[in-house]
Amino acid sequence: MISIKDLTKKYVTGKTEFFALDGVNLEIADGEFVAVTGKSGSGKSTLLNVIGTLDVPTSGSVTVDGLDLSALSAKQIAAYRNKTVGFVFQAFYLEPSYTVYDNVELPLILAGKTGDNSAKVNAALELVGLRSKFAEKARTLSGGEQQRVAIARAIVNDPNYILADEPCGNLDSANSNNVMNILSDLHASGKTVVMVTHDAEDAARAKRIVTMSDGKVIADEKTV
Amino acid sequence: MKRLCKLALSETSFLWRTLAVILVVLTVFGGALLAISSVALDMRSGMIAGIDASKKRYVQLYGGECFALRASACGAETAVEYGAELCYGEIEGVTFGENAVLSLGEASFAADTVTQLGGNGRKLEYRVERHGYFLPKQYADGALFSSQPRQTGIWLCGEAASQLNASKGDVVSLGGKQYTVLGEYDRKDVAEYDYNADESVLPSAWYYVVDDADGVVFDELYLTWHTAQTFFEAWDISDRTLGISDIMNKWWEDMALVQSYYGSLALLLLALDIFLLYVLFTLFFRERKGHICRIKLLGATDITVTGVYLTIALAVVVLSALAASGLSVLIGKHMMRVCSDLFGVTYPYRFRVWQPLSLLGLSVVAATVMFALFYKRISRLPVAEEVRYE
Repeated sequence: MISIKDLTKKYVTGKTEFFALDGVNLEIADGEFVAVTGKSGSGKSTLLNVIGTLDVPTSGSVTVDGLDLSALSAKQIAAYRNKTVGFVFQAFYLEPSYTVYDNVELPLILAGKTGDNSAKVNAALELVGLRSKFAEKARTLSGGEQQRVAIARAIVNDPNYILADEPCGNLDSANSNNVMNILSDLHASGKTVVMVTHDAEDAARAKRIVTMSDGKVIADEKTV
Repeated sequence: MKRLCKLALSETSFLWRTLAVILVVLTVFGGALLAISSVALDMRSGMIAGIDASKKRYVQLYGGECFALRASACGAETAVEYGAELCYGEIEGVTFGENAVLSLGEASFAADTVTQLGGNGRKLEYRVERHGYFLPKQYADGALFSSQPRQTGIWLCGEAASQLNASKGDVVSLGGKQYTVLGEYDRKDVAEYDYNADESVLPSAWYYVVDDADGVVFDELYLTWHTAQTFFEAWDISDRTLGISDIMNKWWEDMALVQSYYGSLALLLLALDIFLLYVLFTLFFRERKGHICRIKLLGATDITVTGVYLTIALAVVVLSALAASGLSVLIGKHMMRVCSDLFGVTYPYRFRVWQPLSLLGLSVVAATVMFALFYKRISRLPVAEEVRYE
């Protein structure tokens, strides 16, 4: 479960203060599929980054599975990113010179699993329908395929939470549909999915839509 | 022992002596030759890339232990901006861009990726080798990185800044040129805004210095003391403010590291080698009536059994050669540094495993040849019946 209390993130430019997050309170139960929507600059990506410990809040707290993220050491934060959450970004963040297999294996290596990881990697690739492309370099894949590799990489360590930031932002409608299907499947298998998107159609695939504006949550509704 | 050697030499053919001399020279000085060749290669690649190695020399960029992964990646970017080819980056045991040139964006991208996937950012190492640029990991002194390239000037932090002992508005002399200190960096801002780091881990002082003398434009840089001096050297600005003695101290510090690593190994092996040679010579041979005699050891009346003992001698020779190769690597490192200082060629400050390995191979070949020659000669020696160790 993700519990967010009075979360603020303030940026200071000279004498100007800007609140990317302004008193956000949110609870996301295990197994939910939540879409966070809003205009550019509304704070949705910042929120996701804070949940993923890629950014630190100015004040407030984020608790994941009872773990206060602000109390974690650097090493614990790294372990959290490695095992508890899996990231999927618009820009894929694949290592282009690596093969599909090597990219997916990366979180396992960072977790210290340097032995034979083929079973886990293949299972993850199977899930996104790319097992046959395991030997191809990431840079040779299409955008849709790259995003599916990114999803395989995000789930290879079997995290409870999938954090997706505009996962379909760079994809055409067919590939978007593929990616959304995979995210829905992950949700159906029990994963908690938190997806940032500005696309209403993608957001509608989630079971709950949280809308943000000026760093605040202005709407929180179930889709079913 | 002395007479024994003299005698052996006097009975040695010209061919054998020549061969021995060549082998010894190759073995002992092989490391130096290889080291020189590696420097030459660096110099050549520098020329290929259109970099004037004689002016740029080498720049060492430090990714500080206390800084975020991204910041260190920017250090690598800076190296590339200044002409280095970033060959590969190693982050937490994961190597990026090996055998390829990692671009600026890729370096940063890889660092970001590893952070997202659970790297904690404390074991980053970028290697920038083609021109001797090298980014060692974890320097307590601070970090060098460029985060806002649109600004110009030099950031000094840590020791460099404290040695300047300047404050906002002061005009400081760096390399005979005047720079204005624009202000002390707000450490809290650095900690909170840029790097999400604990303020306490940041260097004690930060200064923003602008070259207003002749319009030399730098990207914004955070410099450690050492990088500061190498940067000034890189642009042929001999840094009087920091002091030549400080630079020399750093030089010796580096060399002490090298010496402690290779030198101690070489000396240890040499000592062992000398001791074993002494033991073997006294066990195997005696001088009797002006002639060397092979003694009968543990019933070794025939040459085959003696050969077994001589195998031990082979091991000793290998050890000897290994010790020599260790010394030669040490010599090579010194020579690389000398080349860097005298000719301005780059200095790849990195141990290359193929150097001692190739020398070891050479040593084994040398030892085998020497053994074969010795074996034949020794087999012809008479056995001293009077001295037996049964």
